[in-house]
Amino acid sequence: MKADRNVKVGFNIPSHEKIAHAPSYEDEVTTIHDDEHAQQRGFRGNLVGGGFLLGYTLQMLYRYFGADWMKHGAIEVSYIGGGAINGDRIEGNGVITEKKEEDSGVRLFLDVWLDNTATGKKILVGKASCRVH
Amino acid sequence: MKENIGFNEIEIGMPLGVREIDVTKEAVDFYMEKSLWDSENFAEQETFAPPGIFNSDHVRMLTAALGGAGDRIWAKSNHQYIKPIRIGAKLKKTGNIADKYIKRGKQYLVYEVETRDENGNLIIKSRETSFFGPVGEGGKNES
Repeated sequence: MKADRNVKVGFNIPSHEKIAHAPSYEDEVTTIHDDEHAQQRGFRGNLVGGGFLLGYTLQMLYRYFGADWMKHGAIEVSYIGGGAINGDRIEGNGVITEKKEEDSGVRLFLDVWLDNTATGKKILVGKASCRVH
Repeated sequence: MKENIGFNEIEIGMPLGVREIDVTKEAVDFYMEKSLWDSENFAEQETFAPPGIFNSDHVRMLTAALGGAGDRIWAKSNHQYIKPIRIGAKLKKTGNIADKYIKRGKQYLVYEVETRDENGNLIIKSRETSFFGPVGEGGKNES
């Protein structure tokens, strides 16, 4: 289902599931992405980077808004709840909270979040918006 | 890599340097594989890069400017997408330290990054907040 200007406030956009994966990089610069180091620091393991958690959220938004997202999308998120490690099942969700007329279209506002079903915690929360025609 | 710059020495407005990126199909495929993009859900993949690509470069810019490889954990991200990232484009990211603060004993850096193409067109405006420094048990700052 794609976004359109007639969507109603309160509509839940299609959710998006991922099994979290923390890729390794040869030029890794952040020590918290080392498994042993992260555990020594009190985390469950090598944290999946915030950029990837955001990426999972962006995939959900792209699926709903399509190419409009790349020209008219905006997002602001906080990373919370201890994040995710390899193998955690992550579920992305979003709900339309507001609509505003804007230029030649309508801007849809959403609350977005990621649930880590392995820990039962929200690990990303925020707000997004995108103009649709 | 530079010698570490401590939190107290970091000045607001300090530049994070310039990061130049060639947007190649290989880079797009690499990112889509690493970030688990479903290729069937990104119809523009032969023409554009998916949103979110090169976000990790922001923390690399921070490290290049401040040195060290400590525990940098993203706290917040804010991105405004203005133009699609075209495959074949040559991107230039520039940034600076916008703010720093201590909250509940933890040190945070706020930094802004602009991504422009080779024609100077603004592609993405970003504002990131990262935890800066060592992390103690449960994520509590040790220092």
